Amino acid sequence: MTDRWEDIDKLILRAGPFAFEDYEGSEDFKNILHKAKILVIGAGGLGCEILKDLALSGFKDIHVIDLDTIDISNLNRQFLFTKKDVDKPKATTAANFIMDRVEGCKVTPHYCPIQDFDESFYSQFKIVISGLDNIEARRWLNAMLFSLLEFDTDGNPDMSTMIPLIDGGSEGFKGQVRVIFPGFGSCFECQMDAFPPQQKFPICTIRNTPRNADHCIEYASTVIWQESHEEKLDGDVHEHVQFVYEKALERAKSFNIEGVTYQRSQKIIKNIIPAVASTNAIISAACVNECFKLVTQCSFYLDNYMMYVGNNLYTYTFKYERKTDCLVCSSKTLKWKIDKTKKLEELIEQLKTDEKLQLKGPSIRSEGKSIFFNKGPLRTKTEKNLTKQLHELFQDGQTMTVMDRSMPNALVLEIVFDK
Amino acid sequence: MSKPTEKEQLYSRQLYLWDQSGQNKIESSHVCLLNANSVGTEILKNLVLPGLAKYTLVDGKKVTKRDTGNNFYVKTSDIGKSRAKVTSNYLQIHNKFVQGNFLEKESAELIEENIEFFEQFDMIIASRLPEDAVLKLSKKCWEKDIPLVIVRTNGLIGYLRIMKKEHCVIDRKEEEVHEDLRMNAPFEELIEHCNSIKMEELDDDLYGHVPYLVILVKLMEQWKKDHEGKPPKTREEKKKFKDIIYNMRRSDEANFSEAYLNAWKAWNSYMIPDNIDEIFDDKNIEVTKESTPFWLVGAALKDFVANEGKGTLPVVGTIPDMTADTKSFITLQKIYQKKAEKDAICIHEKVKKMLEKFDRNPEEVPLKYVKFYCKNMMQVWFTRYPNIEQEFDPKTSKIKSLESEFANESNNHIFYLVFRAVEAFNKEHGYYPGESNEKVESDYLLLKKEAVKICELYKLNPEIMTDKYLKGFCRFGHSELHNVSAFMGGITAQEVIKLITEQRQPMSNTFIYNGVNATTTTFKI
Repeated sequence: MTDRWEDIDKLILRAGPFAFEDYEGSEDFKNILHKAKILVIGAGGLGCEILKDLALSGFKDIHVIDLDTIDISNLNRQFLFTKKDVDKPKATTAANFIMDRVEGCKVTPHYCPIQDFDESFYSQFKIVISGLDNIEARRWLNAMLFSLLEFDTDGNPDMSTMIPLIDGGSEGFKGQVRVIFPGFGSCFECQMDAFPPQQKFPICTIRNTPRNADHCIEYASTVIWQESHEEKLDGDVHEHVQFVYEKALERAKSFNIEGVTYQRSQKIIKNIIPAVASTNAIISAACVNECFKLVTQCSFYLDNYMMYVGNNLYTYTFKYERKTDCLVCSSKTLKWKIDKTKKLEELIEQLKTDEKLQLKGPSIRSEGKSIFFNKGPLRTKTEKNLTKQLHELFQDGQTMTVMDRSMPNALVLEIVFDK
Repeated sequence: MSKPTEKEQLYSRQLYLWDQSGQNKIESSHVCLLNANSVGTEILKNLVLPGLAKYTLVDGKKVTKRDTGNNFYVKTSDIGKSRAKVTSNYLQIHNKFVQGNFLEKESAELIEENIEFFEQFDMIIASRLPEDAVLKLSKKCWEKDIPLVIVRTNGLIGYLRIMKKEHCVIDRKEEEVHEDLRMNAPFEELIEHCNSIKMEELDDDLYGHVPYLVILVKLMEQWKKDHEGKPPKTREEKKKFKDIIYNMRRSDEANFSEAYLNAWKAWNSYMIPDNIDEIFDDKNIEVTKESTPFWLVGAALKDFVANEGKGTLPVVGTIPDMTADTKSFITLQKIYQKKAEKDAICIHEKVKKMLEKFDRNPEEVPLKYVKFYCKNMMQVWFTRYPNIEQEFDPKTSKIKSLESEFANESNNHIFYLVFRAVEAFNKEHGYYPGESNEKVESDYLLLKKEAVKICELYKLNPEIMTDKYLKGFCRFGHSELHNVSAFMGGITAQEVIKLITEQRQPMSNTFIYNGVNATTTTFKI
């Protein structure tokens, strides 16, 4: 007779090399493993793999959040879904598949955005693993987990309130894994410089001197589309893509340019990230392996970043250093240097395009007053401030509180007027 | 363009990675998997999803309780049933376009009794197959030129080895762009075009949109006239050359900034790239009746360089985007394309002559292939994988040459030897070290003996196999951790896809995954 978990048992119940020196294998760790509550963010390409890997690592209490529904183009890698599941919520479908296949594993799905939950929800988990496709949600999550950290009177973080974040990312044949201990070592925000804002083609090239297929598609999907349609361009609607493709093709022909295709048009409209099952398998396995070692203590951890390049099979493991002026994990107030004659709208543009901040739609308050609101009824009230010069709104050295949807909590910046 | 078909929608995200030509190759491959264990089914999953034509799964075991703790393709209710059948049925759910076959038979027995069985496959994947069986299978694969992929896992460590006689890649999908702009060796048509542009007559707008490439070619032609046909050599001369560019500006034009920054491309001397040099220096460049298209074109290129090309290769024909007005850019682009076309036709003619000489069909290598080859010339690449017999035989093995790497704790080469010792142990004792709790300690002593024997066989210092590794593997006890299976399943499937599509650069030839510290090492043995 074999035992169900005998492979895992060898690592957990036996002490030995590749474990911490004081590690003595024990049943306790196995109970911790079975009882540990793990949160998975995303039930897409990475999420499906992560859920499977967790279930077969002996985790039995898993939650998963995903706001998306299933599309046919997911099925080449999101293997917990089949054609009959198209349009159903990913979280629920994935949870049901895992529970049907792996006996004794409970997966609780949440079909909603991560921002729907507050501190009381996130604080119940031992570890959070994210398999997201965007930076915004990762930043939000990172800041959320940092905000759960409590500090003692000397200002040292309390270990027991620390929830590690294991973050996976993949694009085509490339990917990365990072292990983040909020308050101990570098956090996601410290690593924001790894994601420079996306470069767009200069508008004059698009308009006046297109030289390749992409320039033509970009023109058709922005300028021509807006001239002739009121609705938003949707890369999932065949007729929309067809329209852009035809217009781009026309334009390309008139300029003697080759290479406009339907596929290319769709890729540019949707900003499609190429994806394949194998890369997701690699990155997810590396994430869950770290989770397994962290919970069971049976071996060492990744400290703290592994990069994978599949084109020529290469990995690079290194340690990202913590930034002393990190927006999230340092206690320093960021000083924002700016010319006092600049207008508020220019400041807002800076907050959006700055490499470190990359905010989406910031709202600003200062000294109890609303300076600008990005949305809602307060927007009309505060809009007039946009064209005001900064010295009309702030004193030199005054702090402003900035709220943005990529952050669960407000940022505090100190305004410093340049000479 | 009509609405995308179901297949186009299903595979849309991966077609960006290997396009329809790669997809067609995947959709016409028949792969054999030996052993439907944890890592085996993970590999197959990652091949079924992208649309493999057909697989044949060979496994003689019955599903056990232990399988339900490490293998995603079994359920508790399947315990006692055929593992080949159960796993194959679940794998089929992923993709209705894939034809799945299974055979209920122990892999090692099949190799022993019916080695000819394996001749039908395009590729064979051996998952955790004992070393003797691997060796026997590898001989057949070598004889029939069938790629063999060997995978092992043990605790937190994974091993992968690829064996294929020769693998040639034209499309390496390199991210780094290797330009072939010929500013340092301009062809006639390019010089003519540049001469026809009278910069001083252009209005300011057009002047600011002359492609930097044209500016540099013109300047270099003028410079050579003034300097006995020689480009700038010394630092002063180079500075002078750049000053000329700087002084040509009317305002702050972007095209002149580009010319200034790229000036070195005009004075650096033309060189045959390393990848082509390696092809020219290889024994296969002496083409024979049996030569493959890859080498026939290679030989034609070598001939071109010696004759028509006067020391240069055919022109690649693509130029990167640069500041320019549409007309200037497209005109320039067409000049490169036309020259590339002309050169490719010349190469094609050479290939046809070779084929005629060898009494082969002269149309066997189509012009389309030659054009593609020339277009990707800066990244064409080949490698050869030694066979397993050569690797094992101390007389031919390269193991000894890796001794310092084995001793280096910061990389993972040593795990190769540990896997070999563990396999030797299995051959000697009929089970794997550390499989049962009672024998962890005593197995360590037996494993040490095997380790010493391996070291003696390859004349290595036995001290490199330290207790850390031997005791570590006894602790692992040949366990199949699902995460390690999933990691190796991803890596292996990705390498198999590279081999099938003949795109990108497959690993050569041994890969180790270390799940203790999340590192990997690739090396040649």
